[in-house]
Amino acid sequence: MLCIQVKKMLPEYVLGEMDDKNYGQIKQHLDHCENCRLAYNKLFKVSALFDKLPENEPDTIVKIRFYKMLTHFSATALQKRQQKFNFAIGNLWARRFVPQMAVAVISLFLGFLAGYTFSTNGETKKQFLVLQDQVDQMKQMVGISMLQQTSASERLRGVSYSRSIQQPDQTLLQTLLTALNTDPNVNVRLAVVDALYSFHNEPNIREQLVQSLSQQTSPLLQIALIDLLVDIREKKSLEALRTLISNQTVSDVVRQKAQWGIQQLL
Amino acid sequence: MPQNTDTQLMREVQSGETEKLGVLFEKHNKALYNYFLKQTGSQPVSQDLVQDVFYRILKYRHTYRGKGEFRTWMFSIAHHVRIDHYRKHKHKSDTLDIETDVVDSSPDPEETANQQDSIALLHKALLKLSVEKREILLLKNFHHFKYKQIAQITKSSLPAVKTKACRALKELTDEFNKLAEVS
Ligand SMILES: [Zn+2]
Repeated sequence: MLCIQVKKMLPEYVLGEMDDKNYGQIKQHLDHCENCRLAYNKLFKVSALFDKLPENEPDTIVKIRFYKMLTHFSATALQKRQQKFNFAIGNLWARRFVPQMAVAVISLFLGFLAGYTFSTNGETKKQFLVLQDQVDQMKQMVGISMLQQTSASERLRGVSYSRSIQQPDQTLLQTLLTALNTDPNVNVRLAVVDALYSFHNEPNIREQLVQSLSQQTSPLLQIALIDLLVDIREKKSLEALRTLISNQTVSDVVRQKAQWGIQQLL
Repeated sequence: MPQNTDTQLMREVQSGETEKLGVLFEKHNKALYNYFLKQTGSQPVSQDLVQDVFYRILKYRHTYRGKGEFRTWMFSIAHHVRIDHYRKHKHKSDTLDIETDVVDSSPDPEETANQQDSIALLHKALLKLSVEKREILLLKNFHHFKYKQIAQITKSSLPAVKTKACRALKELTDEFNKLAEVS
């Protein structure tokens, strides 16, 4: 190979990914030609310097902004899904939402009955109350069965359905709490946090929410729970918040949030 | 294979588990930050651009087909973000005027003074290159991509990338030596 050819190919040789044949020929040439070796050394020195370029550490603000964006995005996605659900009822009620429709029909009937009852005697009123109780039970059962579906979107529907129940019984609340701690889908868990907000005055819920904060590992959930606990001013969460702050494996953003939570609660 | 994990995580993001993007963020945000910092020379700009990349990853998550490496796909988004940034700030010159952020980054105490000088010179020489050439060299030598991946990232052909990279290294070496003579 001529020097002029070699020199032309030197950058490619230095940058790597050259085919074996050319590589071998140039290597051989460099062993013998001082002039070309000089040119090679210059290119190599600059090329190798890239490995010495410092890797700069981004500021924590990058992380905080990212998780803020992610939380916002997940919340919006959840809302959209729920809107889709409302729309879907119109199409699918006959096949999939018979129980809900039954509840709706009975409720409607109850409405009529109520109007009627106020103007009549105690016996009818008693029957009315029995009937209302049965409707409530049925609603709870629908909610629970939806929460136990294998598809995450079904479970999401179950959560939003459960929110509409005025007086949840222990079984429904327990199903929601189990979902909060064990549901594999983070969107479902986030929706449960929202739903439990409406039920935070039911017995044991506050304690369970505090307990859940120590169990969650997803930053999204941790942040949502901290927000909720601060909102309902649950001072019993202070210890859990302190534990989060001292745990080095917990994300910085969450630890900052926990710090904020403590300031709010004190 | 770490790339498989990335692909797996991205699939999960696509199927609604958006929180999994957090894992990908933790893994790659530093590389992306340095990709932008070494090209724009500005910390605040680089922070914004990193955010923009992850925003677009979420927004266009369904365009990831899972055939190629996630890292290559992510850098192709970063490349677009970089182009959009320069398009928006066209009135500013192609090369950087702010270089302090990159050069002043905590020097390794182990490095000799001589080597630190060389690194500073390299930064200066890099600024003399066109944005395009600088990007290709950084992708090749700093982020260790192959020509083929760089072609995917920059949406050009493999031979074109190879030619540009070789010219860039030649040009960079000349600039480096010119600067070395002056100082
Ligand atoms: Zn020669």
